[in-house]
Amino acid sequence: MAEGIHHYFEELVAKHEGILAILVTDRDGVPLVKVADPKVPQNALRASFLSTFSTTAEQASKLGLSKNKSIVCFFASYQVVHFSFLPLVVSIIATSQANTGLLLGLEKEFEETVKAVKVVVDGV
Amino acid sequence: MGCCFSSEEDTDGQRQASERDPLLGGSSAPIANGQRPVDDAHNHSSGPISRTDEQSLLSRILHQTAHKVIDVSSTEPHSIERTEYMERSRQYMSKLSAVNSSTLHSPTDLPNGVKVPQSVLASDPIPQGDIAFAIQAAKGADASLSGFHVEHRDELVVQFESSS
Repeated sequence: MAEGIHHYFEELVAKHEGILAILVTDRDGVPLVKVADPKVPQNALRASFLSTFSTTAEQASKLGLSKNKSIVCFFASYQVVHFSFLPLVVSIIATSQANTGLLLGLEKEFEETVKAVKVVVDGV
Repeated sequence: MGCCFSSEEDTDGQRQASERDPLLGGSSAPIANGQRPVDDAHNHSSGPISRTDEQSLLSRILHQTAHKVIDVSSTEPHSIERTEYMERSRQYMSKLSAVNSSTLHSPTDLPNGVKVPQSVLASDPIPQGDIAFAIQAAKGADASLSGFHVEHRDELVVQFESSS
């Protein structure tokens, strides 16, 4: 069934213009699901890069603006959107031309799937 | 710590028991600042158990402060061991097979905001007159805005004279 989830995220990547990769990882950046286009920079797929979100979100939640839900990072050629489903994290890597609002709106779409994954891997 | 203070009137055996109670019970009631000097004074006169009490109080305060403080140094990425990475990755793969296929929602064909395309496509096209009107209004607004300019009359920086 792991292929089913993989296929689900592959479809998401294929259907939306500009998305290069979607990763579902744990808080340390270990991937559960990894769907990536060959064009995506390898550094963005490293656990050390992906794990920065969980620590940053943790600190950002102390700003008095309630819990941090997502962080968008813009780079010269890429943008990265992280969603908090702690202990899981969903990261979308896209080109800088991709529609950021659309990427943020994707959360509603994969929310149920990620929650199902979260229940299964709980306790690992 | 309120229990600790009230136990002064009790016998020795009972005092020890009551001192342990809030610690083991994990009482989460906040400690009033005004109470601390009294507790400290009391703790100095007691044995090693009181010292443990103080230690736990201090560690609790430290823990609470660390929880509230935004620590920039902790944002440094911590890398995990390669073996642990592989092991966890393998565990996740085996666990993922247990995900129920019925919970997988197939992605919608159209992005959010275009949920009812038939109503949008079936509606009457916009009349040419309306389009011409919109273009004319936009041109008018553009012409008006281009005519905007700031007329400099007074000094932007006003000097206030000193009263002394």
